[in-house]
Amino acid sequence: MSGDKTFVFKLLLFSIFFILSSRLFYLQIYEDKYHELSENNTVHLESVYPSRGIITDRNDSVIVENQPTYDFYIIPKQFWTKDTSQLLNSFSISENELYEKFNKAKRYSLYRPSIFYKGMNHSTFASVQSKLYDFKGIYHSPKPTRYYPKPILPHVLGYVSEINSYQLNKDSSNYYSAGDLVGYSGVEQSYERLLRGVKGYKLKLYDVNGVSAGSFNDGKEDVLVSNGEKLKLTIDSELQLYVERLLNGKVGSVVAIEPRSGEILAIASSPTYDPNLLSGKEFSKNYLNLQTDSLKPIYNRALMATYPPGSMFKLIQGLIGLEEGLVRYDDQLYIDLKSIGDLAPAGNYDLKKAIVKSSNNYFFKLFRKIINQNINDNTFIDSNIGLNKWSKYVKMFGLGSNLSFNVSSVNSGYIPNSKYYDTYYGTNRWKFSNVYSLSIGQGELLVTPLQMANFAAIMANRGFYYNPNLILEINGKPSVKTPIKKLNISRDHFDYIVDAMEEVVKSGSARRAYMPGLDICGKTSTVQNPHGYDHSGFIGFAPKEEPKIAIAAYIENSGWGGRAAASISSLVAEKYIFNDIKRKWLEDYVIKGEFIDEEDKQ
Amino acid sequence: MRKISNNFLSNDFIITGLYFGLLLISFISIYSSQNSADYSFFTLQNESFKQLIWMVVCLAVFFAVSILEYRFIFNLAVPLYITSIGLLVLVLFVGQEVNNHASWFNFFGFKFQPSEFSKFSTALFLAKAFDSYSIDLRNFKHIFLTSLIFLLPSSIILIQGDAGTALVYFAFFLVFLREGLSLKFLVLAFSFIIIFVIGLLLETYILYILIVTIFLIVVGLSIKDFKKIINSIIYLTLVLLIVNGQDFALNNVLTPKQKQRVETLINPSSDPLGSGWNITQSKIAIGSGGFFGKGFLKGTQTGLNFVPIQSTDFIFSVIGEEFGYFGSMIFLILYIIFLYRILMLSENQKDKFARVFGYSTFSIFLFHFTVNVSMTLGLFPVIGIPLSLISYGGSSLLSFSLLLFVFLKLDSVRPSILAR
Repeated sequence: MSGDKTFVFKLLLFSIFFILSSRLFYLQIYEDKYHELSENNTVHLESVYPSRGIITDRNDSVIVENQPTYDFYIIPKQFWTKDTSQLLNSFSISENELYEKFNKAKRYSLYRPSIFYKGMNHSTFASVQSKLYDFKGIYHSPKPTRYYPKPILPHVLGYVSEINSYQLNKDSSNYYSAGDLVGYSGVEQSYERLLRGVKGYKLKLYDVNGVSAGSFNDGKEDVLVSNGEKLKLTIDSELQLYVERLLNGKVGSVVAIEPRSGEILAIASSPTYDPNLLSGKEFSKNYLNLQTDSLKPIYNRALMATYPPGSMFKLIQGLIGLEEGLVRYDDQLYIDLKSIGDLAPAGNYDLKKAIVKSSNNYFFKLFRKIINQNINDNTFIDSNIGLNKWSKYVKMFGLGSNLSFNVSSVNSGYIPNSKYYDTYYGTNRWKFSNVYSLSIGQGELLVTPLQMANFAAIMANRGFYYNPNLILEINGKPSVKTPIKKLNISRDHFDYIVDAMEEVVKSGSARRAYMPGLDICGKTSTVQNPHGYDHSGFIGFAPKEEPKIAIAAYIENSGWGGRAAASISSLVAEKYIFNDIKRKWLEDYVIKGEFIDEEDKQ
Repeated sequence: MRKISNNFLSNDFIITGLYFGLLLISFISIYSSQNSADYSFFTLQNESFKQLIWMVVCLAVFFAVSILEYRFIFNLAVPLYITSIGLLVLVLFVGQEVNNHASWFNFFGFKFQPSEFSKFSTALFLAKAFDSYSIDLRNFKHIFLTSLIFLLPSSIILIQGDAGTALVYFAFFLVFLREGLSLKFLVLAFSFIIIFVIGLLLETYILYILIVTIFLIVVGLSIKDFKKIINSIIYLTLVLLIVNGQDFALNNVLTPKQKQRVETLINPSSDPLGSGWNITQSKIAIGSGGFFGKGFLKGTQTGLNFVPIQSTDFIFSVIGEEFGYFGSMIFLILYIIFLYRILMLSENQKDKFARVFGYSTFSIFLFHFTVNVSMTLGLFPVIGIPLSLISYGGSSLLSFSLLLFVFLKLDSVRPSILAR
């Protein structure tokens, strides 16, 4: 009978065993998600941030470096201080703020660190460092922040800030995580991959309170961090600083290039801002301020602003005329003032004199010869052929092109060809009289200061150029040079035009740029501007033989090219070549910045 | 006739051996659960050291019990029961609260829980009652009166706020089954539990449709048996009471914490960091153990305190994580053998007192083992009862040991009773 009596209990025991062992089998053998869940629970992937590459100028002077700012964390469970007022003073917070921060941290976790104070700068940190021992439960960790010892070149450098959600979603390599720093615009963006280095990872064990319990698997699976690479720019920071000083208070830009290499020595856009504003704690506030500023300090005029080239374009017209055989060096041409408004007097002109006096009517006639070469009897078709020929020439000078500039976005400007006018007027419904303003660099032509500086370099080189570039060395290795670009225009023609440019400075419209002992060659532009005063423009290079520097300057609404732009360019050349300014009066004139006469204003 | 002498050597070797084996497993597990703590082993903060002291105490009790007289134990039943009821009431007024249960006495740092001890005294008193009176478990009045023996301590414990331990007393129900209670009651009890659980899972109206359909089928099949129809109607009424009383029970009888535990059992992800935490973390710990486990002291889940109260209620998660499926199965098998052996020995008792006491011991161990392990595996709501002999806790270890030792003592004198 005992078998009967215990049967129910045996059955019960067996079913319990069966249920529990199947459940165990399910959890431990069948279901494999638990292993991963357990690892996630305890092993945290911790990023080790590489130090971002520093950026120097061509003379190894540091432009961008990293300086630690300090973030402070609080662990509420451990928090204690005997002198609250000292704590409040150290972080310059009020008592209420302290309680708010403390309670917020407590709500998050009693054991895990919460952020207490973000981005204390190095000097403040030094002053509170000694007191930190009295604040129990408050920890700090240094965070590398971009620091600019010389506050120059913000437009080209770009800035570094926390990655935004848009970029984070776009990041197909899944390298970034929220809170990571990433380069925005300029060099910081274009060379992000080189500058940032590669994050390292540490696998760390954590207990349930989030308290670190050492490294996982003795750190065997950790990924080592690799620091960012050092960039050496072509910029001469002394020159850059000087250029920015000259531009202070003006709206415009200056680009200076070493002609024989295409290396950009200085590139400035004004108004500018201190790049330190966009680094660290006050980023959002400062960025908003800069963005809403009506003078658009963030806008990089040197690369993005387009202007009609104005009179400096006459150099190109002259070169085309010579190369096409439409004019010879000594050809005299009688110029009246009937066709187009002009400041040059009527009289006999050769090409050189036309450049020196900047005769509009001369180039009106020359351009008509270029457009209408009588290849076709139909004026309209003839104009079409002529304009395309001209357009091809102009593009040889790098105009209408981005010059393969690889740092941040650049504007290509615009060089019209027949298609443009076909669309605008209709095919064969336009001729020279519709496009004549191109003859003096006005009309539909649009160029950027960078392109004009490159043009100045072409003149300096007498017919060739390298694409303007900004990166000299990456981690000590010279960056790859772009191939030389030669223009299909005889070198003799260039020599002829350069002579004219020399004369422009010696006795022409750019006399203010003249400097005894330095042969500066140049050409001014006074660019008509429907919105206000004319823009003042200048291109030039120095010295005449074996030029060291080619410069383009555009100063908005400053009237004649012979004043603001020529003066600034001349000072830049002097600074670069002699590393000293002897013409203090000119410097004062530029810094004072009153380029427009009272009569002009009326 | 094999055992005559009155010392511990006459105890059943299998159970004794398994008992010490389980204590070893307990020590290893508690030691591992304490591994991450900062304090060294020989301090009272270290639970494994404290438990070791309790084990030594148990060993003393083991020898003490083995020299007791059978008659002495028999006569002790009534005074012990009265004492334990007294202590249970007393602890309501002077007790210390731990985990919201006012059920602890504190003696010099060693806490003592009378509700643990009263399991033993209740078992003893129940055995004596069955032995002394001719209780007929087909009689409702008898069933009710006998049930009062365990319902009384159970209700006091419920008042203390420890619903889990109060529930343990219903394990004595199994003893009733052995002593002649109709199996129908077991089936009935199971059906109620199943309906209760289904009621939590299904929409109420679906449940109604189901119940009424089954009722109609049963009535249809037994159309000529009037008694069956009456029974069906009674059953239906009870079922409807359960279904409708469910919300009432969930909202009024159970504390919010207990209610949450029931809810999280059904859907642990509903509150992963709150009450679902225990179950989820325990399942992760056990699940991540794999086949051979992570190795002694290598458990990351339990070692880094992810599983809460792991030395007490969730001690099995340590075994599961560190020794894997392999170790867990060995543990389960050992425990089942242990329970089976108690069952078989109890059944072999010719004396009703020893047999009822043996079945009580079996039932209580079985209940604790089943519910605790199910709880850890996420099969049962977390009601906070320890894994007998394994979980950390002095009074719990002592009361389980006492139950077992006394049963072994009663078993060892079986031959002499026959001789009497």
